[in-house]
Amino acid sequence: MMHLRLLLKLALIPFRRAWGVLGLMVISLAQMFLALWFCALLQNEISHTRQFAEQAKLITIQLKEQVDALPKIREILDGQDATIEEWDSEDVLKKMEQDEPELVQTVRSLGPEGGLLFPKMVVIRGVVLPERIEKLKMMTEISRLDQGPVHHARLTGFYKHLGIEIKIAAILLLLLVLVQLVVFQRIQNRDASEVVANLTAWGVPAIRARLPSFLSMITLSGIAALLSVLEWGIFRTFIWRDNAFLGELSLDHGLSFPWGSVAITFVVVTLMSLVLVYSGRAVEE
Amino acid sequence: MKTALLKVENLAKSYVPGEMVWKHVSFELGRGDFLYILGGSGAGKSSLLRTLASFESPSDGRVLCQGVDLQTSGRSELERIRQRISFIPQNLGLIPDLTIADHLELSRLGIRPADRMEESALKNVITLTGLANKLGKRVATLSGGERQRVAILRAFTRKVDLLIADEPTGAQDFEMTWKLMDLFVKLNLSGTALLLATHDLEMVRRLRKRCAILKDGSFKVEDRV
Repeated sequence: MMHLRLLLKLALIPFRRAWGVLGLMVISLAQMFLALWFCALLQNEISHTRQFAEQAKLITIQLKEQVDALPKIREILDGQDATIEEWDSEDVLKKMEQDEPELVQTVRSLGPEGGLLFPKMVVIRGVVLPERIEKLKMMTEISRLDQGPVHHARLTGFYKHLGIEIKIAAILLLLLVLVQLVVFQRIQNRDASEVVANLTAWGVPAIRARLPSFLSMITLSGIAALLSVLEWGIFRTFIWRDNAFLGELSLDHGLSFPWGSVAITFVVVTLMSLVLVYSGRAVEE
Repeated sequence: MKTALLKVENLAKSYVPGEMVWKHVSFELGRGDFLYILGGSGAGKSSLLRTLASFESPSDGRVLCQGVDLQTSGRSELERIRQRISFIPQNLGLIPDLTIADHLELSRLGIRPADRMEESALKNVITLTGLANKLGKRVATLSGGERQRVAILRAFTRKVDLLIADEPTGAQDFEMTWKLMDLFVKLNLSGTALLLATHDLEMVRRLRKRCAILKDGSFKVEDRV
């Protein structure tokens, strides 16, 4: 096996000879990677938000008496993507004040007994599995449960289109990354030929003779990827630090680094590098 | 019947159709043979040696190395043959960014430990070429003569059947030229066949070896100059 130190030395020859051009190339490639990570992040967020917008329900629970059923409801809805809000008699009256002021005034005039006319309510908004709703229905503390979809048709339509546009942008960015690799191959072609000629002249098999050239490409992509992760870290630490969570319909649920997309990008970059380096037979061989 | 180490049959080369650089090149080289190729500048020595070392294809004829046709052989066969040949090209084929030590390491890649020159013998050659205290220096920082010695040194890192050298001492002073020629002769006496291109008639006369003359596209093997 070729010694790692020598292999690295051979792989770094193009960087020593054209460090200015290749330095710029690393920086531009890093920006492309960063934009790709953003696209992947938005795509993840969009799919989450769309799912929420399409499946969200509004569930209204009317409790039998002034009992505290909230802990049990929370337990049943544990792990569900939903918000739970409890309305007591006063909350219900406040909500009705606008539409039915006379009725509210009459109820209020009855004193504490009037409050008994309006039992406690629990309002649930979000995505809840049907079996969990059935469990809620089985609760003895509940006198009535109404449910209906929350309509976000325009929003889901918008997110659907945004998702398509982001996919197109990601494909274009990936193509740009591949173009950069082709350009790099052209730039390092002379250096790579020199190395291949040298190694094959001494009987080193062609596959191993082209290994430094492949490693040059992976080094270029690797440095650019590290730079993009560093930039991501800076964004996360200084720019997104004080971001407030705007709710289930916004695009900032997790803002976690899209490792899956990074892995896919690297598989594509590695395959492309292999094709560029190993396709055809060099004159030197 | 013993197979010749190198058998050249009616070889011809042309870069422009109808204009032959050389033609009708035929000769045989056995183990331990020594052959000078003499010719003036532009006679086609380098292209002939590159062809014999499998780095160029002839326009006609064939080169058989250890019975294997270099033009029709497969990749792995060619790799095996190249492991048994050392070639010192005129342009030296060095990588300026690497050190002398790197070049020595590089020329020993892909061969079995048994095929490597013994460390003590290699050390002697390094000392003799005057490069012992420059092994860590990058080739780019060396003089022309030193670079040529690095190229020669590489050829001595492995045990080979055939050494092909294209004007290997052209950039050396008189004393170093003879030191290097002494090395080549010793290598030849140990059983390695030598094919050396030169235009230095004086050297050929002194060493009294078989030589071939390349002139006006024709090739003729002589017993002595």
